[in-house]
Amino acid sequence: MANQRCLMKMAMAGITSWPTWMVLLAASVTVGLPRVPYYQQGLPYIYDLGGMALVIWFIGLGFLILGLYFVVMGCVSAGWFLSRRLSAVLFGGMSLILAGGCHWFYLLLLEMSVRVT
Amino acid sequence: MRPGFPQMPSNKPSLLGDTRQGQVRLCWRNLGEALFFCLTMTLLAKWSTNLPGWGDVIASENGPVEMMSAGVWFVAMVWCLTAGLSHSRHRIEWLGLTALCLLFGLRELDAHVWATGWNFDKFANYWNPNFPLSERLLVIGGMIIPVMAIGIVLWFRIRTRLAVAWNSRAPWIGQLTLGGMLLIFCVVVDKVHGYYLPLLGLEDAQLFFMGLEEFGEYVLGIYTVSVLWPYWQATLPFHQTDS
Repeated sequence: MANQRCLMKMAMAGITSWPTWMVLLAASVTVGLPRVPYYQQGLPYIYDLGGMALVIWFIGLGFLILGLYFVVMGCVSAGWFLSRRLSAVLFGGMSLILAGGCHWFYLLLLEMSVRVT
Repeated sequence: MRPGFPQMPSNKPSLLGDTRQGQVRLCWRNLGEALFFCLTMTLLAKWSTNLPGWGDVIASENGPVEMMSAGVWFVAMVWCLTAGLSHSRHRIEWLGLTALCLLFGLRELDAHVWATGWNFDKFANYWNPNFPLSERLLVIGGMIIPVMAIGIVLWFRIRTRLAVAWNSRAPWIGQLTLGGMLLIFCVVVDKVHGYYLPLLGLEDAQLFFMGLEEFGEYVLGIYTVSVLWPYWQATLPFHQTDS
């Protein structure tokens, strides 16, 4: 029981530390970004919206990490009231929806930029 | 009276930044952690991207290190924005930091070049008749004046607290000073490889200095996150445990 509690504490310490989330960020950027549609075509000027689209993609990444943080915190943390857990998960879910919205906007801008050129 | 900037509760140590430590020890610890983290991530980026040389990983425009450092600023921006919206007492400070992180992120993505097609980082371009007057006025009215306004408001909000914090050896003043020194280092290295090395005929050293600048900017971003992390934890909603 004591071991379990110790493991739980260590897991919580890991989840609430910045390196965990910065590793996720680094992986998203180095592995994920080159696989995003159209990114391979380079960074065009704002006149065809590519640069702005990339900014939106990065803001979406920020919301994704914030959302995941709160969803994981809400699901894993022990000793919290259920209502607070639910609020944290809902807050994280809202951030994830915003991240999805940013990604949709990114794709939309890129599609528009391709149409312009 | 305690300085007004968001304070980590003294009874709540974080995993990598206990604000009860002395200011000197804490800021060097933040810097050490950031350096170690960035070195590790750079090694992993080289391994995961299969790029042929270290120059392609560290010193290339839109390379992995530059993209990671841009990502750090945008993540910091979103977290500062959330902290500002959920923390009414220090909203102006958090929103000011949000604007600062956004600007750093945009700078990292070279928005100062692609936004208009001419570099609005250079003062000489503002009176260059080759660039459209409307664009120059748009940059001044839409970016420079708002940034100056934000800077002035922030300065008046925190200038008295800076002195109080300095005298009381508050941990964040040491962290702020070291962050400022890192920023100056990055700016100096940027100017050195951009202007002075070609003037001195030292083009061979340019790649080294460019890599140093990109890596320094990444360290600055991670350092900022490591410094702000306990404050975010103290400020963001649902974070205080019931026990």
